[in-house]
Amino acid sequence: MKTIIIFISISTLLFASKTKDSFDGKEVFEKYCWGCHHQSAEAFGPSFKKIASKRSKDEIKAMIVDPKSVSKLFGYKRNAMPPFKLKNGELEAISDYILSFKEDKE
Amino acid sequence: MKLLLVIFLLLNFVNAKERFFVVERESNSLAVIEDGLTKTHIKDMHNLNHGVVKFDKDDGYLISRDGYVVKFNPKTLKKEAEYKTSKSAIGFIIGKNFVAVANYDDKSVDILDRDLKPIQKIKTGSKNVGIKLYKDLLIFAQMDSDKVSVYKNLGKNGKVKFELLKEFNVGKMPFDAMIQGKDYIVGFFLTKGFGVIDLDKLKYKLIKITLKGNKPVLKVPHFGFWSISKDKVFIPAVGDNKVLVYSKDFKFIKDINMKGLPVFTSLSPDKKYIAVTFSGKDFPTIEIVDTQSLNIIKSFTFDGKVLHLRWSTEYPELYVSVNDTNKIAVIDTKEWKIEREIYQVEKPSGIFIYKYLKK
Repeated sequence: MKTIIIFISISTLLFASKTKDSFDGKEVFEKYCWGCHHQSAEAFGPSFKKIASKRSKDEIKAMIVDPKSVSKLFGYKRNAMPPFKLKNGELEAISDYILSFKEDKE
Repeated sequence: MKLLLVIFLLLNFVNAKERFFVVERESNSLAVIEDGLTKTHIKDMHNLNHGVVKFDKDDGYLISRDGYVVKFNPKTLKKEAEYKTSKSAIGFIIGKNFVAVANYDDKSVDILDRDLKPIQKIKTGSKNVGIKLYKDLLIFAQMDSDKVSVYKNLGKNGKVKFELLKEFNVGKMPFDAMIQGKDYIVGFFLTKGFGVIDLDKLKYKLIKITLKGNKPVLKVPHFGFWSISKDKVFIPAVGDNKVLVYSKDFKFIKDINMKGLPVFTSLSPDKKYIAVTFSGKDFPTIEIVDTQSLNIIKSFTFDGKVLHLRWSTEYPELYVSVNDTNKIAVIDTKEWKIEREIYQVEKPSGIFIYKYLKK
């Protein structure tokens, strides 16, 4: 019985680890965001560096999922970003990737 | 008669040749391809995530994502000058005695001389796109303030000095433009339509389109200047799997149903075909449209994202940039088959041709 529980625990851990690891932020960026955003330079959309400097992880995730409503809450006059239906792992990975461009303020 | 004979003999000795310059998106370099082979790479060209190259006579110019303009010699392949106009530049145009650069970030348009010495900075307070020239006019669109600005060069004796002639309030969020004769055609991201400004009369009109599609756009379409055939204008739709076809006087002809959301619509040199690239899941596919029947006559799907393509004018060939698999695919446009693949290019995107005469 003990062996079975240990096996299940290890399997769960392995599965969880694999799911989390299976989405790479840069890959998600290249799949969905790359046509309009750049990591450090202003493009059609704002740079990740700029987004990371003023938005929290939750705000970033909300904007990706429902940009029309969230842009209004942010006080933007208009929104050109489409909503994205990402998997949870993809949303986590891209949010972390965006935040990785935050510059440390001295 | 003697003169004609001399010209005939000269033409026999002289051939127009093409040299391809391919933006290597991730490695700050340009690959140089000639006669189907990668010859060399020009390095240290700055961040080329949206690198654009243009030629005027024997001068080559490039702008980088991080706001540099680089002048290089397409014959010797040497860099000759560079100047940083902003933190992010998006487009430029070459005049007889100036280069004009549209900047995203610092929301300005820079005028430089042909050796990249600054002459004038026009601050607009908006990201600027669709920069074009017509006679002595400089035209560009302001993405954030929904305007098109027309500046006139009032400089005398070869000097350059642009002053505002007229501004037009246009559709929401202009993203690119093209010139057709006297008309400046500008596309809008948030208005269902495109704008046309008659540059002789300085009159604006909005051509409404009836498409209802609103699919998520993963890459903004590009207008370039190569979507205009003898009698038609081809416009990539925003948010719909269609290319819109209008007559030259902007009467609606047809919406062509395509596989995906179009990015580039590129006309063949003989104007018989238009090649269309896509974004999103259809990035690897291109479709070829017959410009008379308006039917799709051929489709190619590659093993990676297609970021750009270019028709050769020297041979019946279409060069395709396959970014993910580090190659340029060359399509034989007579037989419509992949003729060969060119390697030794890393993460290719924009393909640009310099033409020269070779004995």
